[in-house]
Amino acid sequence: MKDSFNPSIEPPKKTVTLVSSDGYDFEVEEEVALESQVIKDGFEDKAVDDREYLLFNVHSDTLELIIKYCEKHVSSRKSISAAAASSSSSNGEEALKEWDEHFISVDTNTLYDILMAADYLNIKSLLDLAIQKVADTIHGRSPEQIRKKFNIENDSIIDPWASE
Amino acid sequence: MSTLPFDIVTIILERLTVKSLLRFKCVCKPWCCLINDPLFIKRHLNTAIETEKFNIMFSHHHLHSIEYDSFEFNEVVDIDYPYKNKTSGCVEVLSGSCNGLMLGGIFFLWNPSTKEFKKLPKTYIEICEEIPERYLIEIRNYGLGYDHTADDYKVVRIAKFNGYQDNYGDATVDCEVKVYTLGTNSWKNVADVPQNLLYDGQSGVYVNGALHWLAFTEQGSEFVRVMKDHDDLVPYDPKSQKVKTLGMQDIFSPGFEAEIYVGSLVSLNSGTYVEGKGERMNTKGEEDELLEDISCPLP
Repeated sequence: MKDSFNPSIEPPKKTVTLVSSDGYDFEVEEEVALESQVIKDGFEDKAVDDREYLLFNVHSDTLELIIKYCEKHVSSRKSISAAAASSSSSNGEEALKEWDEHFISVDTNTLYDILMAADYLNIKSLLDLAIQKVADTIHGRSPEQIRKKFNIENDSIIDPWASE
Repeated sequence: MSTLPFDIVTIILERLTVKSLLRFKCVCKPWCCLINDPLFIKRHLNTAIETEKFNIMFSHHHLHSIEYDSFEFNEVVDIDYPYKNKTSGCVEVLSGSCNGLMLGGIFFLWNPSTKEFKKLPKTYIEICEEIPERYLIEIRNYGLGYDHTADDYKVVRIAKFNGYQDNYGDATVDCEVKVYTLGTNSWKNVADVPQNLLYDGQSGVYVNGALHWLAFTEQGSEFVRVMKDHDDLVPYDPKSQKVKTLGMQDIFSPGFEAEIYVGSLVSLNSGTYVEGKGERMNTKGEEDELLEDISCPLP
């Protein structure tokens, strides 16, 4: 997909460094990092050369996914508003929804990691997406399956579902 | 396998249906406490309203329900009803709904999602009792609403009587308004509403924090029904001020009565509500043709 219709001279993009819990550096564009409300809060107060964030709770594997999500959303927003400005029809939102659905279709552990990271970084749209995904997967399950899924010990004395 | 912190689990559970939640009460004690917690119940209700997870209940002597976004016939669920006609098994009228609660006839409140119901205490029409032979009950209107200021559910009853004509040919008209409060489980008389209004006998509709009845004056010739038209289901979204219309005619034959409700965990028997002072709510005409749209503040 075309990200934007670029003017010929582009100012150098400002970047921010994100450091994962296992010590990897990720250099991302400022607007991508600002998708996180936690980074956004107090961002202006930080000196320009000190824009490095140590994310103690986010592993590099997860951070890579999170950045991929944020980049996609920033670029999609741009192309949607560009399409709206030139009043050309666009199915950008539909496409993004589809992309989201595909993005969040991951195994349970990865899903939990994304969920925790989105909560930690306070990225609301991603948190909503991940929460809804978990909610969809546990819909209609039995209590025993839920215990397994959430690592919960059965603390009831009589379990009416045990005979199943 | 990683374990999710409890506050995240809470947000996940807010998205589930009442049916799932009732089943998950026995997952473990903390979950059971959470699902019974009034604060959680309120948040769950708000999430359902925000994400527009409405259900549709329709009846043709028997009650059925369908989830708003599924709309497939194989997902239509039969609902059991607390007060069925013993011989025919038919349902009595529903005379109002609010936040997933139903007002069944004039007798009871009912939460179809949790299957909880509560009988309302009997109340007599007082002005009728004084001189019963002089009065003819012309109409009774009911409505069920939620009072934000008192955090309580209330049933409003408007009863109207036509008296005998006097020597000059003028009939006397009396109007009585009573309000039932769930928290205190009691009826109370409230200030009268204007007597010269005629109601169409429909139950009150709860919109924007107030109950609305459609009424018109004797001079008016037009008779408009808005907000609750049984041919066209109109779930009203107070936030966006938009009215969404579903073309129900294609799906259900005429004669079906239908209600929109959210699956709600609201308990009818908690008894922990505190009585508070009501506040006058805004009255808002929905359409120009609407002659009078009266709004009864929940007292």
